[in-house]
Amino acid sequence: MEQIELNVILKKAETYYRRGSFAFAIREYETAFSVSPTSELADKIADCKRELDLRNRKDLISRGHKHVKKKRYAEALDYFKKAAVIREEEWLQKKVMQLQNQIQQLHLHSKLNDIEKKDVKEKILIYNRLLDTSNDTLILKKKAACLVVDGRYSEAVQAFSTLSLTDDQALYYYGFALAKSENFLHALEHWSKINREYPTAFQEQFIELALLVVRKMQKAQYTHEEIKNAHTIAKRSDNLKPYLNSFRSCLLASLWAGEKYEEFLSLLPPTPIKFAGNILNIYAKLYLQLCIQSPEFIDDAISFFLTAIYNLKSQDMRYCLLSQFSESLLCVNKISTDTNFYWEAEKRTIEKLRNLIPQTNNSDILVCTPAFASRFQLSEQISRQLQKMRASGEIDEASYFQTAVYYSPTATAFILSEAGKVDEALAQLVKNATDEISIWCRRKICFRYAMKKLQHGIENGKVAKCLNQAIPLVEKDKDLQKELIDFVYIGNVRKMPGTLSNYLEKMCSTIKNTAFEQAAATCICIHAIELYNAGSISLKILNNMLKKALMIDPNCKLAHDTLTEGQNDCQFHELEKAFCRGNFEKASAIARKTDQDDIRQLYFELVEEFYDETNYDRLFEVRRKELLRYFLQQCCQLDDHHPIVLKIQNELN
Amino acid sequence: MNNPFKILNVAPETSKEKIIRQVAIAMREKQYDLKLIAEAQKELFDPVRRQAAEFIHVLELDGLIEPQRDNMENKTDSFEGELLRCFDE
Repeated sequence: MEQIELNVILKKAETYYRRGSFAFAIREYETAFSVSPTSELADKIADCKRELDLRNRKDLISRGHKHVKKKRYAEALDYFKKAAVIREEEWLQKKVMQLQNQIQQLHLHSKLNDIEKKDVKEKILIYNRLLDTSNDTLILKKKAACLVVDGRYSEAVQAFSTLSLTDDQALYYYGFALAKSENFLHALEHWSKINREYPTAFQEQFIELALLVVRKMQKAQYTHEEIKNAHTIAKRSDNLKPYLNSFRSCLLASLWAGEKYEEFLSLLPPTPIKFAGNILNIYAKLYLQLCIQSPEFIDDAISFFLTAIYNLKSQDMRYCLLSQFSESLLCVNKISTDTNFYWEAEKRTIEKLRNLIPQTNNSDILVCTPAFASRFQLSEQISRQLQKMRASGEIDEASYFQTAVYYSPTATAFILSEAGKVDEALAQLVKNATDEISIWCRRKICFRYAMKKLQHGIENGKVAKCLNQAIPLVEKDKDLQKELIDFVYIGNVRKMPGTLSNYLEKMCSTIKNTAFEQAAATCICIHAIELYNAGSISLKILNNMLKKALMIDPNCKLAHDTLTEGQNDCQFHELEKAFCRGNFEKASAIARKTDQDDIRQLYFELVEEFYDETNYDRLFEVRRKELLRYFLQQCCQLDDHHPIVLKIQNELN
Repeated sequence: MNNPFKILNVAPETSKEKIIRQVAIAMREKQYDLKLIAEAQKELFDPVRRQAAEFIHVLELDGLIEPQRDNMENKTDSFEGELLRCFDE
C-alpha cells in the first residue's frame, strides 16, 4: 500500500475519532496498523476502545437508573453489575449492594406476607426458622410482636430490647409487654415516644399506666433517679399534662427525703403572692433547710420562718420553734453582726405586729416580717390596717409609729439607724417627705444620730440641730427621755457634753418629769464642774450654773454640795487675801461670820503663823503686842480653849 | 437541727410504742450516736417539740401542688389493659 493511501486511511480514522465514532475509527486504525504496525497506532486503537467502553458504561448506568425508577430492581442490578465490570467505582459498588438488599427484602416481604395469614404460634415457629439463617431486624420485630400477641411478655421484652424501635406499632407492643411484665416506668417511657395522635383506647391505657407509675412512686417503690425519669417523661408528654402535678409532687417528696433542697426550690412554681394554707410553711421549712446548707439563704430563711411561725395557732410551738431556730441555726452558722441585727429586728417587729393584730382579729392581713412584706408588696396593706386601728383607738400612737415605720418606705433608713449606722441612715432619709411616718422616722433618726455622736464625744452644730429636730418626739416618748437620763448617769463618756446640758435644760421647760429634771440638773452640774476644773470658767460662772441646776431640781445634791464647796473656796481665798494684806479686821470678820470649821481653823492657823513669825522681832514688839491683844480678843470669841489663845495669853501676861 | 423521724426511721404519726421499738433498733444498728437517738426519742415524746419537729421536717405539699386525685384503694398494682390493634399496619 502506498504511503498516500495510508495517510488517507489515518485521516479518515482521526475524523471518526473527533466525531466520537470510535467503532469506525478503530476499524480504520486497525487497517492502517495491518499495513504499518507502529506503537503509536496501537495506542490510538487502545484509546478508541477505552472511549467506546466508557460510552457503553454510561449507557448501562443510565438504563440501570431507569429500571430503579420503575422498581425493576433485578434488571437494574444487571445493568449496574455490567457497568461495574467495565469500571469499578465505590458508589457503583454500594448501589449494587443496595439493590441486592432491596431485592432480598422484597423477597422476604412476599414470604412474610404469606406467613401473616398463618396462626400466631405457627408464625413464631417460622420466624424462628428464618432467624436461624438471617439476622433480619424486621423478622425479629415481627416475632417480638407475635410473642406479645401470644402473651409471652417476658420473651417479647427480651426480643424487643435488642432492637432500636422507631415505629409506633413496635413502641406500643414493646410498652405493652413491659407493662404486663410490671415494668411500668419503661413501658411509659416507650409509649410516650409514640408520635401519632393517640387513639382514645390507647389514651386510656396510657393514663392507666401513668397512674400505676404514680402509685409506685407514692409507695416509695422507685429510686430517686427513676422518679426523676418519670417526671421528665410526664413533663414531655402532652397527654400527661393533667397528671404532671402528681409526678411533680412525687419528685418533690423524693428530693425532700434526699435533702436535695436547692433542686426542690427550682421545681417549685413561682413564689405566690398569696400564701394561703400550707404554702407558707413549705417555703419556711425549705428556706430553713437551705440556710443550714448554705448561708446565702439566711435572710430568706429568717423572713419566711418568722412569718410562718407567727401565723401558727399554737404559741407554745411558736416559742419552741423560735428557740430552735435561734439556738441551733444562728449559733451554728456564726452569723455576722448585721445578720444578727436583722434577725432581731425582724423578730421584734413581727412580734409587735402579731400583738397588735391578734389571730382572732378578722382582718385578712398576713402578719409578716418587714422584709417579707416588702418582698411580696404587703407593706402598704399592713400600714393601712395599722392606721385604721390607730384611728379606732385599738392601738396607741407610740405602738403605731414604732411598728408602722418598719412597713413604710423609710424602713431601710430606720433599720440602719437602729443598727447604729447613723450616718448612712441620715443619708438614706427621704428628703421633704411630709407623711407622719416619715416625719416621725426623721426625728427618731436625728435623735439616734445625736446620741451616737455624743457618745463618741462629738459635739457640733449638726448634733445640736439633730437634737432640736427630735424635740417633738422626745417630749412625747418616755423611752427616749429615759435614754437621755441613762446617758447622764451611765453614759460612759469622758466628758459631759455641753450640747446635752443645754438641751436638757431647754427640754425641762416642757418635760415635767422628776427623774428627767434630776438628770438635767445633774448633767448641768457635771458639765459646769468639768469646765471649772479645766479652768474654762470662773468660780462665779460655776456658781451661776449650779444655781441654774438648782432652779430645775431644787434638791440636786451635787449642785448643793458643789455650791457649798465653791463658797468655802471663796471664803478661804478671801480670808488668806485679807490676812496677807494686813486687813485683820476683815479676816476676823470672815472667821466670825462663817459656819465652816475649816475657815475658822484657817484663821487660827494664820494667827499662829503670825505669832511664830513675829516672836523674835524686837523692833516690832509694841505693834506685835497690840495685834496679839486684838487676835486674843477675836480668837476668844471663836474658841477660848484653842492652844493659840493660851499661847498669846501667856506671852501678854 | 437533727431530724428525729429520720434518726428513728418513723413516720410522723407513729405511736409511742413503735417509737420505743425503733429506738431499740436504732441503737442496735448504731447508725447514729446514742445521744442523738436519745434526744430524738425525747423530742418525739414531748408533744410540743414533736409538733415543732413535724413543722420543720415533714413535707406536706397540700395547697402548693394538687396532684390528680386517683382512687387508689380500688386499683390493683397490675396493668389490666387489653392489647390494642390500633397501631397495626
